[in-house]
Amino acid sequence: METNLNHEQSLTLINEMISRARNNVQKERRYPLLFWGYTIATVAILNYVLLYVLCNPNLSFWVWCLMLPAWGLSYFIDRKIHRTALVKTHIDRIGDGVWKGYGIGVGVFLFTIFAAAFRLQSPVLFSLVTPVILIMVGICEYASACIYRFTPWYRVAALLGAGAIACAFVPVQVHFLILALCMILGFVVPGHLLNRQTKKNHV
Amino acid sequence: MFEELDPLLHSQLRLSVMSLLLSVDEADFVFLREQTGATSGNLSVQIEKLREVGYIDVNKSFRGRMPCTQCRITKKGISAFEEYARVLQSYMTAADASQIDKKNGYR
Repeated sequence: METNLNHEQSLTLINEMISRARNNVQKERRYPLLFWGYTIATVAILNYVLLYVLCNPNLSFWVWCLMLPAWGLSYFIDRKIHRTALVKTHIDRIGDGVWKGYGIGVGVFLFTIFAAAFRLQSPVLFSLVTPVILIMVGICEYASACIYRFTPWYRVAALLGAGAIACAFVPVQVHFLILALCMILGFVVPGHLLNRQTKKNHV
Repeated sequence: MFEELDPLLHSQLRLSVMSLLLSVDEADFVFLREQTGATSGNLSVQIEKLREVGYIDVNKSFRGRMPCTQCRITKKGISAFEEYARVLQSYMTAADASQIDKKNGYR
């Protein structure tokens, strides 16, 4: 069965379909937000607690090794989502590229900081880790906001920037609490908002 | 005189499919069915028509035991869609001009 259209109906239909495809793109972004939001917030809080619980507080930083299995798990989840995705878009590819670039950037940055700290025998450099990572995540969130035209991510980017600035005025131990707070407000909350939006659209 | 709109695109379901595919790299049959609200049978027929003229590529495979049909717009399809939009635009411009003429009392 075919329905013929007048020119106005055709334009309305084209606009509606393009907008539906775009909305679908945004919905898929909630999984990485929730996964990384909860994971990083948990590890940061754990690190903060261990700083005061362990006899040797320096051992508490090893908790960040949990990020390696988390990364592996995220890789498999992403692959599964990608394989079973009903729709694949060039916007998704660009968005994924931004976050892959971030992953590589963080790796290079951490290596540089550790190498410099050991060479200069200066643990002060470690105080840069949290604010710089927050700035890098903020840049990626800003890029994602531009790519997906999802306004809340602009606010998240601003929040992460504010978190980085706040790090300059508090002791290094508190950086972990700031990081956890930024992850909850910047990743977990928008992730659940997207989740709710998706469920509402499906009702 | 007005140019004729591409009859292959000037149908509700085929135009919906092409508009959806234009915005994505690749889309599953299920996605197209959900978004257009069409029945599987009707959608299959229209997809086949678009495939026959080379406007879309259709890749059939299996995801586990489930059959899976992936559709992708081709370069020829993009050109046809752009041409369709251009002709549509000329209709709209002509319609607007005619409205203004009517307002001004010209016939």
